Parts: sequence; C-alpha cells; structure tokens
Amino acid sequence: MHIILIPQRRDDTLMLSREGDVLIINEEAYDFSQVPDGATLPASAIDSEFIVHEVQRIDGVLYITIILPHGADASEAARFPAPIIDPPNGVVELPQ
Amino acid sequence: MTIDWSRIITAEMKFEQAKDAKRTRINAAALAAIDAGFEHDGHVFDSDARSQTNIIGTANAVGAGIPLPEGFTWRTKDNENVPMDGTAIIALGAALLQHVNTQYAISWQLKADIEAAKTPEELDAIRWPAAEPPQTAE
Repeated sequence: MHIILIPQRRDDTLMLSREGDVLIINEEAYDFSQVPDGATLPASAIDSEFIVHEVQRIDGVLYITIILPHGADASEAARFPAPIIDPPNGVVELPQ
Repeated sequence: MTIDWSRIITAEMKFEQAKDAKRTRINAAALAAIDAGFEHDGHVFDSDARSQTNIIGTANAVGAGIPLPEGFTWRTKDNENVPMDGTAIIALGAALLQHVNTQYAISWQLKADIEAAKTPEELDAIRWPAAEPPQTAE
C-alpha cells in the first residue's frame, strides 16, 4: 500500500491505521481488498472527505491519496509530506 | 455506503475503453487519408468530399454519353491543369475509387487487429501507416 498525502491547512485531525487492504480513517474502515489489479475506484465512489483522488491497484500495490490536515504551526514534514510506502499493519505514523 | 463498488473501473473495462478510443482514431485517420489526395498517372489529385463528388459526377456524366467540352482539363492538387478526355476522366474516377477503397481496407484490417489485441502493448502497437509523400512526375 502506498499512501500519498496531500497537506491541507484545516482544524480537523486525521487518524490512520491499516489492516492489510483495509484503511481505517478516523475510525471508519475502508476495505479495498475488492480492488483488483489494474482497477481504479473513483474518489467520488468513496464516502470520505479525506480520500480525494482515485484509488488504484497497480502491480498488486494499492495507491491511496489522502488529505493530511495540519495546523498553522505544522512542521515542514507535515506541509510537504513524503508518501508512506507499505506501512505495517496498525497505526500509521503521520507527520505532525 | 462507504464505497460504491458499482463505480469501479476494472483493467478489462479500461482496455475496452482504450480499444474504443483506438477505433475512433483509426476512423479519423482513414477519413483524413481519404481526403488527403491520391496519385494517378503521375499527378496528385484532390480527394476531399467536394473533389470526390466532382470526379465521380463527371465520370458518370461521361459514362452516360455527355461529351466533355473542348480543351477539358482537370486541375491537380498543386494547380496544374491536366488535359483529359472521357477515357481519362473515367480512369481518374476509377483511381479515386481505388484510393478510397484502399484506405477503408487498411482501416478494416487495423480494426480487426484492435479486436484481436489481447494486451495494452499489442493495442498500442496498432497505428495508421505513416503517410508516404505522394510521388509526382518530374
């Protein structure tokens, strides 16, 4: 799983965790195990304000693009976040 | 509903969409090639829709026994007036039909190739033949 983060100045928070192909966004589970290889799921088909780009599986790897909310005094790592490549199951560490 | 799975676009669906797009491009290329002009008897003649109508209409008129005026000429793509009698006009019409049919035959073969393509790589390799510059008499 590759998680691409799009930084956005907002006052809400994001908690992310992963269980295989399931991504849990602020306690809401999104199971992407049904996305076959080469398929695309439009962002508009996903009921989440954080997923703002199509979800794809390419060569077996899920690509998910998520808004990363950050405060006014966020670090450079949060304002210019690197993609998170294949995070282990459990809580996904996000730049603060 | 968290995820609307009816909206998923599978690899197979993308491949069929790519095939449809390729068919559309082949159709456009065939029409452009038909309109691009054709070589006949050492000259290149226009073959857009108006030219096709003029050539076939004149050839049909000759075939129906209508005489051509004295000193009749047909203007080439590069604006040279070529003297023509009835036989030459009918030959010009035949060459035009051959040109049009050739482009359609190419498009049919390419569309058969599109239908048979099994992979995106095979589909991508299907192209309209590169246009060769028409040969004209020196």
